[in-house]
Amino acid sequence: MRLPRRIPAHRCSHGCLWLHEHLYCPNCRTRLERVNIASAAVLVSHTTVRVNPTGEPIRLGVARTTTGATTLCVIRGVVRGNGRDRVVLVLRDGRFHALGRRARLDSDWQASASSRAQGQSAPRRHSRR
Amino acid sequence: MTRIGRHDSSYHDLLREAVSLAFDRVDPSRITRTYFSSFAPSELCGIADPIGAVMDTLAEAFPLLDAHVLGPYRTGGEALFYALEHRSGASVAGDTMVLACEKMTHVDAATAAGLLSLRVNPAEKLYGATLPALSALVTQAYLRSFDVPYHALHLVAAKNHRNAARNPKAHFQREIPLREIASSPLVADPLRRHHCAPMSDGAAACIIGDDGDDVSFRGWGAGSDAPLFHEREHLGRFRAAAIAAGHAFSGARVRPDEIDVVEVHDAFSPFELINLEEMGFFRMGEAWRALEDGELDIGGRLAVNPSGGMKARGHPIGVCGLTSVVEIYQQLRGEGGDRQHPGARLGAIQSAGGVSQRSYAFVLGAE
Repeated sequence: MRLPRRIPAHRCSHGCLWLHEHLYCPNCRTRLERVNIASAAVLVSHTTVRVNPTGEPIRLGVARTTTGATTLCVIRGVVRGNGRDRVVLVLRDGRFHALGRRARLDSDWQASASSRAQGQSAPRRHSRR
Repeated sequence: MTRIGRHDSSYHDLLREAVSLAFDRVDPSRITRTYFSSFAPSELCGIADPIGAVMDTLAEAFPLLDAHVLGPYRTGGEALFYALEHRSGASVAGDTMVLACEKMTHVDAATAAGLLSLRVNPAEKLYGATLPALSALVTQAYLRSFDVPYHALHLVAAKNHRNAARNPKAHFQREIPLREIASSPLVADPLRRHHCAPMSDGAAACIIGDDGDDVSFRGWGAGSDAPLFHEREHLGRFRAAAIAAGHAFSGARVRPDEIDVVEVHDAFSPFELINLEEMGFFRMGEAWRALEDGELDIGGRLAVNPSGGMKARGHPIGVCGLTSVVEIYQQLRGEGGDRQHPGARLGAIQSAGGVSQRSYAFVLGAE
């Protein structure tokens, strides 16, 4: 299965990149435009949350793309947690997922990824409206 | 300030007790304005109109008090900052009271955890992020970026429990050995249970006036960071604390190395080290060495969190900041009892909300 190599992002006129929606650039307050950037990233911090309201452990991290944008992400697959893990970011259900080595994608994921590869619209992130 | 910990008494009883204790020193009729802070009184205690509740409680218990109540602010530090800002910017007749109350130990841990996530940005909550989760990400980045050893976190918790054992108003009045801290269950790697502050009940009141008290506020400041945690310039740093402390120290015309005693935000143990470094007491990644050498103990070069900090004195969320002010005030007046830091003349307080998205700093000095 091929994963999308690009993910949606927002860029201001000065080149600041943001993976999360903002009305204006948090740095320079200029308008943002939608762009697609490479999904390759480095996992700069990670944790396994063992005590949380859901009762199930959650693996969370912060990933920085090769173009410099950062996002919180759910971790899938094997990562070493040394701040240098190479991951691929995938946007799904409004959340970024960082795929490490041997990330297992369930059938639901495969169906979703296939539909995107065939040109269907990708799942939208939560709307501001 | 009331004792911090578990209380059977009601929210209103805690409020009354804190105000009564403050009025031991001050004439209630001089109060003209009250800044009130409480984290989630409606969700935790079913108080739909907290300001009305405070006004009713005060009016009932202290008929002479004719105070206009503002708030609720989210932390005691925030309420105090705005009270000081207002007093400095306007001609204020009478005294100002800063009052804070929290009652949260009666709810179960899961409910409390859900409420605490009110402090997490909705865009990050979508990922299942909780305050401990984001704090763990800060900790990982901090330890790795500045080569701080993991056992430094244990040292912070152990030191604060040592101090709290001397504080009769602390939630936990016992020392905890390092091995118990190191073997406590993981909450969110690398944070363990003994690196996290507890939930506590408590209330505190602070009265600011012009009556010539021998301890006074010399400077204060506020700072903020990116609303979304992951968009910070550096995940392992607290820019908000650096900005707030910079304003407070320049306002007070003092340098960090002149401070004798400091209370800093330590809802999670690594935060104590990060905040000390951001405030300018140490270079980044070096506070743990001073801690290991005993320089941050009571009687050391700089007494840090002599009350026991949030970790051991307790963490009634909306009261924090104000509890620290009470501690520093007592230290500067030589009323610290068994935990008195000798020769304390200048003290500092740093208070934060969430994962340090906002931070407040204050400098107090004795005449």
